[in-house]
Amino acid sequence: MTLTHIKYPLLICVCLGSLLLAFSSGQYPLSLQQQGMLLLHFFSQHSNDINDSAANVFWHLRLPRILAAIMIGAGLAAAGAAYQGMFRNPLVSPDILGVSAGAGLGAVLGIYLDQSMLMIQLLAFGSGMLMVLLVCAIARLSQQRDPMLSLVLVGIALAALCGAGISLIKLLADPYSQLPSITFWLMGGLSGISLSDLQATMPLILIGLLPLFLLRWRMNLLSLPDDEAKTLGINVRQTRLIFIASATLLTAAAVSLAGIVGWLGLVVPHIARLMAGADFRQLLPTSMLTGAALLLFTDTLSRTLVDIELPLGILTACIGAPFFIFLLIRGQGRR
Amino acid sequence: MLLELKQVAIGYSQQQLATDINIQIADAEIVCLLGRNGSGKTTLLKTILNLQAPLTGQIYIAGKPLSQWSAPELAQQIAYVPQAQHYCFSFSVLQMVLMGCQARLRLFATPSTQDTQRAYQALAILGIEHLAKQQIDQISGGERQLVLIARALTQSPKLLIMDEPAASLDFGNQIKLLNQIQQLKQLGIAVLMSTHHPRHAELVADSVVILHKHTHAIQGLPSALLTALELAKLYGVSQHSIERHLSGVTPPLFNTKVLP
Repeated sequence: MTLTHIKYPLLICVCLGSLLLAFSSGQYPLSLQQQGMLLLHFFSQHSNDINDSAANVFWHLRLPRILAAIMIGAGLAAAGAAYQGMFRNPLVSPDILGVSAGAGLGAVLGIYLDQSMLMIQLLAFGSGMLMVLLVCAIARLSQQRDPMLSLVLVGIALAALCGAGISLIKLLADPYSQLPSITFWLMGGLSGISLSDLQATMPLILIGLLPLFLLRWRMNLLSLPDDEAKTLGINVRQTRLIFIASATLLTAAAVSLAGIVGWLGLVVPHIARLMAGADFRQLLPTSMLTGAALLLFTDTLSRTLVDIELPLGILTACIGAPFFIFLLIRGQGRR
Repeated sequence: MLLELKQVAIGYSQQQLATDINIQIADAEIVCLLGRNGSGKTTLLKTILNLQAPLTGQIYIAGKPLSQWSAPELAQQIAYVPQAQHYCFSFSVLQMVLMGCQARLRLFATPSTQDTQRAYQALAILGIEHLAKQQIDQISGGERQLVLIARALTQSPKLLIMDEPAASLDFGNQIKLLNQIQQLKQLGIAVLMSTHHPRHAELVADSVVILHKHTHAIQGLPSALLTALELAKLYGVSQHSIERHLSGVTPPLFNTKVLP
């Protein structure tokens, strides 16, 4: 029996394990019995007692955070798998077209202008989407024969400009109040996420996932050279645009909620490919489950490892980068 | 006529590669395309595949102008077999062959069990069904080329376009490939393939197209066009060299009577 045969049972076990660990761990530990009681109480009376501190921690602190980790992990991993496939490059991450850089600039501007949390999220989302639109528009003007190369090059150029903008705002920001917020946002994190934040983001992530799921077979053809894909009977340009729009929506929604969580979208599709192979029909659900489990586990670590909360970006880099090097040494990196 | 090119010129906006191209291909006809490096063989094949537009002239597939065919419709008429190459992601051979079903799939559909059966049939025709579960990057170049032909067969096309299919194959695999191409004719499939080997054309072709850079293309019988004189003109080498290279190791394939 190989890893391929047991992938889904194994993945579901890992996800459930991460879920239980996430609900139980933290500065206010919740036993399995307490969690069971809280769920029972909720389903029998259709309401929960917010005065009870255990219930408060369970429903208002842990649950939104756990749901956010699952959604963002699955979304970033799906976006990463889609971007790697359509760019025919396993080293591509979801921010290849500048969505994270754009969202970063929007959020940093929002923090600098003392906007509300909702406004900061909206600015991050809007500027992330706008950046990818700009990249696509400018790439169309270029004379490069390879449209994908144009996209990547324009993406790099505009991301550099956003980086310059972020640096400038950091220089101008108040070093005692705004600068720490900016730094924390740029390193990613799920603290302070409420259920109402999720109500805004969850539909965006579902809308982004839907085309990826429905067109999952066509993703395989997009990962072939363009000439081959066209002669097999698909409209390459149209299909690619749909995938770019969906993956960008996923990334922008994730980044606007959690800040810049690096490495996840790059590494998770590799782990998923080891289990499920290159076929996007299996790669997509495997990536989503793996991404959800990994971000849930990382987020639990971030709030339990030391007394202060560690930014997610630091932990995902510490886990992702060594694992990526391990894959490269094993020779699996290019698959 | 399955494929017809009338007064076609090919190339790019800044550079015309060949002009005055008139080609006709009938059902189950094998046509070999010869020309120097850079004469526009690949560009001509891409033009026929609707991957780039002709500069002038008309191309008809089954009597209908090429531009009027939608991508899925065209994929069921013409299939493309590129040169075996390295793929970024390692699909299994079966997954690769299944991609040939795309043109018949609805927008959100994935291949059915019938499609899988069709893919296995294509693999069986080429005698490589035992490779179905292997990864595409773990098989040899010759096998990979056969997989790409199997994928093209899954499209159920009437015409197969092959771009130098023997280019990266060893001698044995070249012979196997030519045998398979002749088998396709038995299945009623026409083949248009570019090649650098006049001998390959001599072995399999019903007709030959010779593409002269910047000027014109001529189509004719192999016996008429694959003469030392024509090949000398085409490749810019002496007739003596052509004769020496093509009649040495094996019995001469060329009718010496037509040599001047």
